[in-house]
Amino acid sequence: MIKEKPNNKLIGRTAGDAVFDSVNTFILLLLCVVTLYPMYFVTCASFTKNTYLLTHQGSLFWPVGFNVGAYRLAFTHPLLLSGYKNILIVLAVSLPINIVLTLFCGYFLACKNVLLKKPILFIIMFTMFFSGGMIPAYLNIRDLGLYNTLWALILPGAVSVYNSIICRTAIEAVPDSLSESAYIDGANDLVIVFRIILPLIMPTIAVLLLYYGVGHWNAWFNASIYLKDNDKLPIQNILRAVLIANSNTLNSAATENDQVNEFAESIKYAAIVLTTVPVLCIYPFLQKYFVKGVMIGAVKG
Amino acid sequence: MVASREKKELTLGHKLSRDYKLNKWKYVLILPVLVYLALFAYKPMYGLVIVFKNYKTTRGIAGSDYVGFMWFRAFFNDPYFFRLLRNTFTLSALSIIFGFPAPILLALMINEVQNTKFKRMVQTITYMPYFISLVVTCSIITIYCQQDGLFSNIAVLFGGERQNFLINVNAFRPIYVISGIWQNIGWNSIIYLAALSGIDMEQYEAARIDGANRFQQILHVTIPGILPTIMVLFVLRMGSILNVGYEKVLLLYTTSTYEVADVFSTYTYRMGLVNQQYSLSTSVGLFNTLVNVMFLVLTNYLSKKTTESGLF
Amino acid sequence: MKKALAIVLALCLLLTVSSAFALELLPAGDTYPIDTDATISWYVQGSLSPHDVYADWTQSPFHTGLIEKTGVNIDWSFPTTGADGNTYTNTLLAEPATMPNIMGVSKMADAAMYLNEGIIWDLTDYIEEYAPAYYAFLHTNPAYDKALKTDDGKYYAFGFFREDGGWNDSYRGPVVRTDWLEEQGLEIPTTISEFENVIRVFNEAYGAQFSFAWSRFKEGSLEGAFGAYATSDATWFIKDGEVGLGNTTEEWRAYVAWLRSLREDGLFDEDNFSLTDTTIKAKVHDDKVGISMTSMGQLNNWNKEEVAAGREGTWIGIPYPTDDDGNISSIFGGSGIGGYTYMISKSADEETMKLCLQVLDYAYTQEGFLYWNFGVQGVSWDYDENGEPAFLPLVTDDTDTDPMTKYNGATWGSACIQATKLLYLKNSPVAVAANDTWFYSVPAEVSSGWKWPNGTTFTVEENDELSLLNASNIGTYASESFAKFVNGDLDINDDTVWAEYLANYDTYNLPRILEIRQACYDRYLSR
Repeated sequence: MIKEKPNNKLIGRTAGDAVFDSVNTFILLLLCVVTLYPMYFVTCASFTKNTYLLTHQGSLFWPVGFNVGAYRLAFTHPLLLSGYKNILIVLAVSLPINIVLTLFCGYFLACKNVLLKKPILFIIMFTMFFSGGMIPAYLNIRDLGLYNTLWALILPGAVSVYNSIICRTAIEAVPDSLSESAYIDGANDLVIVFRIILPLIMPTIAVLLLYYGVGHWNAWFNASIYLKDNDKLPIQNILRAVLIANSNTLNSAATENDQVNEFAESIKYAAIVLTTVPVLCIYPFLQKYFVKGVMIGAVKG
Repeated sequence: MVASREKKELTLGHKLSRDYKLNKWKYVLILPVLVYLALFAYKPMYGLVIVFKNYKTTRGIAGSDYVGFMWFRAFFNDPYFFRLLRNTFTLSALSIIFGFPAPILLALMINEVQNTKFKRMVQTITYMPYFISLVVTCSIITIYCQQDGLFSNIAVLFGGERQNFLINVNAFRPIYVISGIWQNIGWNSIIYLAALSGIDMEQYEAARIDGANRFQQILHVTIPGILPTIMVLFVLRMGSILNVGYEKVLLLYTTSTYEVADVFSTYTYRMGLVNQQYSLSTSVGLFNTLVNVMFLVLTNYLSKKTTESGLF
Repeated sequence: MKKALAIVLALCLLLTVSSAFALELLPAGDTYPIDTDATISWYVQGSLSPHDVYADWTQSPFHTGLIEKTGVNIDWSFPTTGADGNTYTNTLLAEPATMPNIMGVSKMADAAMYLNEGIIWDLTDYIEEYAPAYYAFLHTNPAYDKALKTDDGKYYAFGFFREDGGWNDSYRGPVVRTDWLEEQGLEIPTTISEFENVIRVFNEAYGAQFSFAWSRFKEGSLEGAFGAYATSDATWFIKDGEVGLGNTTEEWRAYVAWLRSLREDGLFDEDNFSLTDTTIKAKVHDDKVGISMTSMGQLNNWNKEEVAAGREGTWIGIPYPTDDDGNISSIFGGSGIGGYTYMISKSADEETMKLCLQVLDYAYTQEGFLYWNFGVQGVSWDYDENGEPAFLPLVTDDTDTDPMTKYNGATWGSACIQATKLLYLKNSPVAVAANDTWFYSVPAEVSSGWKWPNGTTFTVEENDELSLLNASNIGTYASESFAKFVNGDLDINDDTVWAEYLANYDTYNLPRILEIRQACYDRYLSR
C-alpha cells in the first residue's frame, strides 16, 4: 500500500499557497535554464562544424553545419566496443557486491547493544581518512594476483565507508519494533536485513546504486595503473584518451604534435555526451523510487 | 587482589560470550567487510611510513632511509606555507558555507512541487552538469570570463567595467565556489530527495489541521525529517575541509591569481612535477588528514550536543 | 632593407645545407637480422606508442616491422591508453624485478642513482662492441656525448637526437598577418621598435591587440631583443661559465618595463594570462589580433581555418626581433637532444642486455635511420627525383591524423635520430618556412649558447636538498611577480620595489640553489 503525498489543491488551497507555488516554480525554472543551457550547448557543440565552434565558443543556439564527424571519429576508436563491454562486466559484478556489503556494514553500524561495535566502528572509519598511498596499493594488487584482471577494478572499491554511513542513517530511521517482532518470530539478522530492512530503505538503495554505478562508470585512475592490456580498459579510459589527444591543455606531447585533427573541438563535447547519455537513460528508473514515498504504507502494514 | 581481577576477567568473558550468543549473526554480517578492509585498506597502509623516510621508488619502502620529521620541517618552514593554508581553508570554507545548504534548498523546493512531471524534469536537468568533465567546464568559464565575454557583458549592464575576471584577485573565489555549486547542486540533492520520501505523510496532514502554512510545514515537519541525513553529511563534509582538488584550480588560476588560488594540492602537484617527491606529498597529505579528522571530531561533538544526531 | 636581404641570403644558404643529409652514420653491415630465438621486452613511456587506429602494437606496422628488421622478438609495452605516463612508469619502477628489459623513460636526472643501486646496466664496457653505430654517432658531437653520460663518465642509455641539432626545438615564435601588413604598407618587422610599431598600427587601424596563448609565451619569447634570458617562468642561464637566474637581471627589468608600457597603452591584451591555443582562435578569426606568438602546428591550423571560414587572414612566421642596433636576439630553442632515454634494466641477463644493445643500435645505422624516420623503402616511402626520401601514396593518401606515425618511429622522445627531412614532410610549407625563419635567422651562439644544457644530473643529495629548500618556490615567485609587474600591481620602474623584489629571492633560498646548480653545471662541463 503506497500513498502519495496528498494534493494540496484538493484540500483547499490558500492564497499563500498560490504565491508560494508560483515563486517556487519560477526559481526552479530559472535554475533549469541556467543549468540546461550549458548542457544544451554541449550537445549542440558536439554536432557543430569545428570552424564555427572556434569563433562561437560558449554560445550556440543550435548545431551549425550539422555533422556527426566527431561521433564517427569517436566510434572508429578501436577500443570503444571493448571499453563498453568491460565497464558492463565491471558493473554487473560490482554492483551486487557493493550493495550487499554496504547493507551489511550499514546494518551493523545501526545496531544497538553490540559489545564490539565501538572498536569495529573505529576500524572502519579509520580507513576513510588514512591510506597507504598509490604505490603500496599497486604493489598490493600485484601481490594478490589481481594485476591486469578486471578484479583489480572490482575489488578495491567493494564497499565505501561513506555510502555505508548513508545506509546506516536510513536503517536507523526504520522503527526498532519491526525487527524486534521478527526476532520473536525466530528470524535471524540475515533474514531481517533482506526481508524487512531492504524493502523499507529502497529509496536509499536506489541512491546507493546510483552512487556506486556512477563511481565505477567515471573511474579511470585504477584501471590506468592496474591494467596492462588495452583491451581490458573500461570506456572512461578510452574517452579520456580521446579527450587528451585532442586537448592542448592536457596533452604533454603537444610541443611537437600540435596539429590536432579537424574535430578537435567538437569531439570533446561528443565525449561528454557519450559519457552522460547512459546515465541519463538509467536515472529515470531509479528516480521513481525517491519521487514517491514508499515508507509509509509499509510501516503501517 | 588476584581474585577480584579473575572475577573481572570472568565478567568480561561472560559478557563476550553473551554478546556472541545474542549478536552472532551481526558479527557474521560484518565479517566480509572487515576482511575486505584488512586486505585492501590495512595491508597497504604500511606505506604511510614514508613520511618519516626519504622514499625512492626503486629502493622500496623498506629500503629507503629514515629521516625523521625532515619533510614536515621543510613543509612548515616553507615561506608559502601560511598562504597555502589560508587559501585552502578559505576556498573550502566558502564552498561549505554556500555549497552545502544549496542542494538541501533545492531538494526542499523540488519536494514542494505538486506536478510529478515537472518535478522529475527539474531533477533530471539539474543533476546533468555533474557529468561534464572539469576540462570543459573550466574552458567554458574561461571564455565567459574574458574582456568581451558573458560576465563582462553582464557587468556592463549593471554599470560595471569590462575586464578579464580570471586575472582579478577578488573574482577567483566567487568563480570557483559558484561554478562548484552549479556543477554539483542537482547531484548532491539526490540523497536529500531520497530522505524526504521517507517522511510520514500523516505528519503533514496533522500540521495542516493545526493551521500550519507551507513555510511552517517545511520548518516543523520536513526539515526535522531529514535532519539526521543533513547532520551526517555535514559532519562528513567537515571531515574533508582541507581537501580542495587540484585539477579545477590548475585549470582556472592564472599567474595573476596565485595569491588567492594556490592551495595545498596544487603545491604538491608542482612538487610532484619537479621531483616525484612522494615522501613530501604524503607528508602534506597526512597533515591535511589530521586537520580534517580534527574538524570531523569537533563537528560531530557539536552536532551531537545540539541536534542529537551525528556520525558516532 | 640590407638586413632583410641578409636574412634571405642566410636562409637560402642554410636551406641548401639542410636539404641533404648532414649525417655520417655507420652502415649496418650484415649484423641484421640477428639470428636468435630470444625475446626482449621494451617499455616506452613517450610518444613512440602505436597510432591511435590500432588497438595494440601487434597491428602497428612500425613496431612489428622493427622485429622483422632486427630479427629479435620484441615484447612492446606502453602506458595504457589514456593513462598518465609518469605515474605508470613510477609504478613499474616500484618493482624493479618485473621491469621490462628496455625502459624508455624520462629519468636522466636519476640515472646515477639507478646505476648505484644496480637497477640498470652500466653500458660503458659494452657500448663500443655491441652498439658501434651509436658510439660513433655520440662522438660526432661533444654535446651529445656529454649529455648521454653520467657525471663520472658512465654510459647508461640511448637518446633522442635531431639531425640539425634542434631545428624543431624552436617550434614556436612570432607570427603576423601579412594581409594587414600589406594593407598598412608595413614591412616585416625585424627590430623591437618595428615590432612595437606594428602592434600600434594594427591597434589604430583594426582595434587589434598583442594577444597570444599564454603557454606559447611564458617560457620565453621576445626577451632576446633586450638581452634578457627569461619571460615569466624562472629560467636558468649560463654566461661565461656562471649560472644565473634570468628573472633577476637588469635586462629582464627593461623587457618587463616594455611589456608594462604596452599594457598601459592598451596594446597588450589583458586576456593573455588566461588564453589557450583554443581560446586564442576566437580572437584570431575575429580580427582581434594581428601580431602574436604561436607554434608551427597552430600557425598551420590558423591558416587552414581562415580558408575554411572563407576569410582572408594569412599568417606567416617572422624573425625574433633584435634590439634596435640589430645586434642581440635569442630564441626559444635547444640543442636537439631529447629528455627521454632508453636504459637497460637488470631484469635482463648479460646475453639479453647485449641483444638489447644491438636492437637499439640499429636506429643509429644508415639503414636503421631511414627505417625509423620513413618506414620500409618501397612500402611507405621511396627516393624522389632529387634523390630525397618522399612518402608514397600509402601515407600521403591516408586521411588519419599524422599517418606517417603508423610506419615510422622518429617522434620526440623515441630512441633514434630524427631527420629534418621528416619534419619538412610532416609540417605544412608555411609552418616549415616559419620555423626556418625562427631557427636560422638567429646566430647559433646566441640562440642556444646560454641555455641550461640537457642531460645534467643532480646528485641524490642535491636533489634532496633542493626539495628541502622548496626550490620550486622560485618558479612560483618569478611568474607571479611577472604578472604583478605587467598588470601594474607593482611598479617595475620604482627602484625600491625592484630592490625588494630581488631581496625576496633570498627568502626562497636563491643563493644556495644557484650554488647547487653551479656545481651541477661544472660537473657536466668536466665530463
